Amino acid sequence: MNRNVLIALICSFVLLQGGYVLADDAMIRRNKLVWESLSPEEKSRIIQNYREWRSSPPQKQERIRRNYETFNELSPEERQKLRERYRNYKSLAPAGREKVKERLHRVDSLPPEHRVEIEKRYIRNREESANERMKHLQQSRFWKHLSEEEREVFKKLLIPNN
Amino acid sequence: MECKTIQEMLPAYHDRELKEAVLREIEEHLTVCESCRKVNVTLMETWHLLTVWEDCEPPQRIATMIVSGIAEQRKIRWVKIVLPVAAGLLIVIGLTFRFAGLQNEEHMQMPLPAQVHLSTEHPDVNEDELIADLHILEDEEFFDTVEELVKIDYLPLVDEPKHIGRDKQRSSLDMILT
Repeated sequence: MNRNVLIALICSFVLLQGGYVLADDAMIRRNKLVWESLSPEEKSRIIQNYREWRSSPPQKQERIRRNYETFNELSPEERQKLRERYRNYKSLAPAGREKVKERLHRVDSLPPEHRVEIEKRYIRNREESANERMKHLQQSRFWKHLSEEEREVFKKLLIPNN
Repeated sequence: MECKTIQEMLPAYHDRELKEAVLREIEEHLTVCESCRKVNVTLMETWHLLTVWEDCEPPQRIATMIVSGIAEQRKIRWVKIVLPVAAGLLIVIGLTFRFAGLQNEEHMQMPLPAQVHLSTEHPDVNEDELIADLHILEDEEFFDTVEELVKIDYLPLVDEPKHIGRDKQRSSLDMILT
């Protein structure tokens, strides 16, 4: 192998490793600053979260870490949208949340290739305006099978500003 | 002295750099030894030729080529030295970073040592561990639901056939048929 290519590969590897460590350090520094700025009440809440986190199974911890990374890979608009959806989801009555979870099982049970195809279609359609999305939502089979109560729930989650 | 030694000493003999006794010995040898005398004559002729040789300046182009060639070779020699040294240094720095990172990770996974307790009020809390995961702990419940929240967007598409509705990628033939 060309010597220069080998040297370039070694340098890239070293810089990558260094980058990971520096990124970890930057996160720890950021977290320390945040921690110091928290009020005693907020610290108590986080300590409570920490205790629950410690006692949760490793699979759950791994899933949450993965979700955190997924969230950080989204665009600022998509992050804002998810935050808003979360607030709306939290504001639902327990029965409403259960209904959403039931519906979501449909997505989980899809064959992988169908799931991939749906994700692609979603990416193609996500640039639509809220009005267009509302129109298409109302035309969908999914919408037609919902009760009036469920429609209110999903409208709030899918197109909150309409 | 042997002929080989005498012949090796001939340049010094002509430059009168030898002791008097050695000079005399070489002179005597040359009077009796035919082969050494021949070598001596050849050497004297060569020197004579060198004295009549005219110095001449090389063309500017060749001089420039030689100078730049020497500079290039010096540069390559430096690169050959500097690159491996730089690569070695980077490896050492990288391994140090990695080692420090691993130590950090190990440290985070260690059971709670008594000396790093957040405070006496919370003896079960490892402050380093808490700080390392603070970005998640701040909003753990939200991050727990991110996957579900993303999936909500897929719900209206689950029961839709591939070609119907808002699929903008469908062909013009599909449009006519539908």
